[in-house]
Amino acid sequence: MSATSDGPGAGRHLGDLAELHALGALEPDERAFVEAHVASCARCGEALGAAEATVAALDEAFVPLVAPPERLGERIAASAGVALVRPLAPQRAVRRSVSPSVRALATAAALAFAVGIGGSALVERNADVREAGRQSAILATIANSHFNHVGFMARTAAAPVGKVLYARDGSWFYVIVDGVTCDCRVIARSAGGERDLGKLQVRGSTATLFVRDVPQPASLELVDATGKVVSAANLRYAAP
Amino acid sequence: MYDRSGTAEHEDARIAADFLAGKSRGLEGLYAAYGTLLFSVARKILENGEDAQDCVHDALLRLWQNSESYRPERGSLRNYLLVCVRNEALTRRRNAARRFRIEERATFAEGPAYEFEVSDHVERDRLRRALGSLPADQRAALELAYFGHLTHVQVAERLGEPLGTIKSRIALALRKLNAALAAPGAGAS
Repeated sequence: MSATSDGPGAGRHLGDLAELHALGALEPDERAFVEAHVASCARCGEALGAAEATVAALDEAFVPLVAPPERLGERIAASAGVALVRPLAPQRAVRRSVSPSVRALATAAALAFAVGIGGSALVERNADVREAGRQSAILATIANSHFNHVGFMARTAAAPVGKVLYARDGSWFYVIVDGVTCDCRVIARSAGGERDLGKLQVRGSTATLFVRDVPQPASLELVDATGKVVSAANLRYAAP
Repeated sequence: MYDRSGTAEHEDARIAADFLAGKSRGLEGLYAAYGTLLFSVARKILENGEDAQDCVHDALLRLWQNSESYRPERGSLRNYLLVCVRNEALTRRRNAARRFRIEERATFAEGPAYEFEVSDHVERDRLRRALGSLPADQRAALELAYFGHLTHVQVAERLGEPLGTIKSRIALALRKLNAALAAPGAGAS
């Protein structure tokens, strides 16, 4: 152990202060010392970086994720003085317990899709009757189930926006992805390993995949043609 | 086998390069990739969504306007920013506690928020095992610092131990967790 300091002071290394700083357990004057020191000490900077990575892992594991309000992104962009093509927004969607009103909307959408109400573009594109019948069966399953939905969290900048609707008991999964430009497959990951569920089926600007009989994976991943995970969604199920 | 960590690291590096170059897409990419986690950490510490927004806003703006404060050799921008937000939130919490005893506030000032599941069950289980394998005195000190949001001085007071002892215990515990994370399947010892 090369570090020698137990407290702020010129010419000393950080010692235990690196870990304490990463945890936020220091007083303001000690923090200032740490930041000033690592600006000129690569060794302590490395130790601090390792401690920060460990605390980040704790955060990822133990902090329940809550999506920030939209206005926070707008406020940050305005304060930063940057002109954005799209509003600042985190890519991971908020997961909500499905309320009756949402279920009603889903049901209405499913029925509209199934019978072609409202000039559905998707139905128009799917002129093939057998395909339309298959979609109808899928959406009828969704409309008559208790289900959860969760957004995919992007792992790359080019990741498409998508979400998973899935039965609370894990009996089916419906992956919906917008703006698919990659040749993506869906991988189910669980403690027992991974399973390739198949390739997304592209229809116009939307791609979907409906699967049954997958034993409750912990997560689904979208994997591009090179094998890279472009986004992932974590799933949870109702207690048996 | 898919290279998950490599992909994430590559993406982190691209975001950091754009952000540090002052490109708007860097800010956009950073907020898109880390915004939810940053906000969640702040909200967890401050127990208040409005305060958490102020915290994330200020921490992000400070780094955007003074990006030289981050040095890439130290580690990832993401982890650095998480610590910035954590320290900002803890400062606000401690200042507020001095004025209002924030620990006694039980309700949020905002409307309903929607929590979703912790991000990685496998990592959480692995960390729990690693935490569980720490010596009891180290674990107690670390948990008071991390989960209890206490300073090392407060931890020492709470446990009735000398300050130097507590600092060593916390630091050692975190290093053991780091080692456990680096060795998949291993616990701390």
